[in-house]
Amino acid sequence: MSLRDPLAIARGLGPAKAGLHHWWMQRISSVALMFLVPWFVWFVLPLLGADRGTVRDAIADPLQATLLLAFVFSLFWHTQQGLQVVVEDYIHAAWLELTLQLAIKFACALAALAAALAVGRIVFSA
Amino acid sequence: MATPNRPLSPFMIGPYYRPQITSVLSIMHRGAGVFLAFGAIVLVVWLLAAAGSRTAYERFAEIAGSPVGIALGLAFLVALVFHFLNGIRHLLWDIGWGYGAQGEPEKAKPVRAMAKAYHAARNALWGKVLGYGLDSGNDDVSRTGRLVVVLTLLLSAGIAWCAWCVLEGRA
Repeated sequence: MSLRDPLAIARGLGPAKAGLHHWWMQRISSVALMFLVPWFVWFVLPLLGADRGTVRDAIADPLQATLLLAFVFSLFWHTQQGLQVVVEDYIHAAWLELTLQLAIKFACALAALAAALAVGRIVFSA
Repeated sequence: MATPNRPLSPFMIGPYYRPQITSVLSIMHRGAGVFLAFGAIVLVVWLLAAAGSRTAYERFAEIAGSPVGIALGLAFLVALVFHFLNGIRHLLWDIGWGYGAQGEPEKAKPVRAMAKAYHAARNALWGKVLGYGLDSGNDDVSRTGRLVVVLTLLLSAGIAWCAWCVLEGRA
């Protein structure tokens, strides 16, 4: 029988760590995407089957480029947050979980960077 | 002291529960989210192709316009619409809306109407074939779930129709 407070033993061992902050950040990216997804559908629909020049002209528009980057950044932020929770919930081997969490973070960051460079290249060469 | 053999709450998937609209939509929300992560990668490939050479864009357009590309695009569309609508349902819960109990009053009327349409469609489509449908509750959480299913089908169909018109216009 230990005289230590059970809470002191449990503290720091839970799965949540910085749960509330993550939860709140996920709501923020959700709300951003709630506005940006309809915009994206509206932006992309007329570009279906369009040639390269038309697509580049549409992306090169400063307002559209801004919204496109806002969409892509929110999207990968949200993707990272969502996949993180899925891995936390279903992957229980510590080494695999850490590997996947890192891989997801790096992949999302790389994808967002690539999109920024691509949009930038189109905007600045227009 | 830890008690190792305490009973666990049964997981929602397995032999313990019949599939319910609530649990099925919950797992579908995650599934759609994971699927859409791949769609996000396709979006970046599209941007890179547009920023790259003429040949790069032509190759992307060729793959995207192939039957597999179009089917995948449709799947991404449906997943996006579903995740979008169900995500709004989640946000509404976060501000405390949509947790009503059974037999909620007037404000649930439009939702109930959609739920009826959903039931009619479900029975017509596969209820009779499989002999059973999803276990469907009469609370707000189930009702808004059915609303999300109906709206997903309608919105996806509408957007897909617009996409088809755009492609037809170019052909």
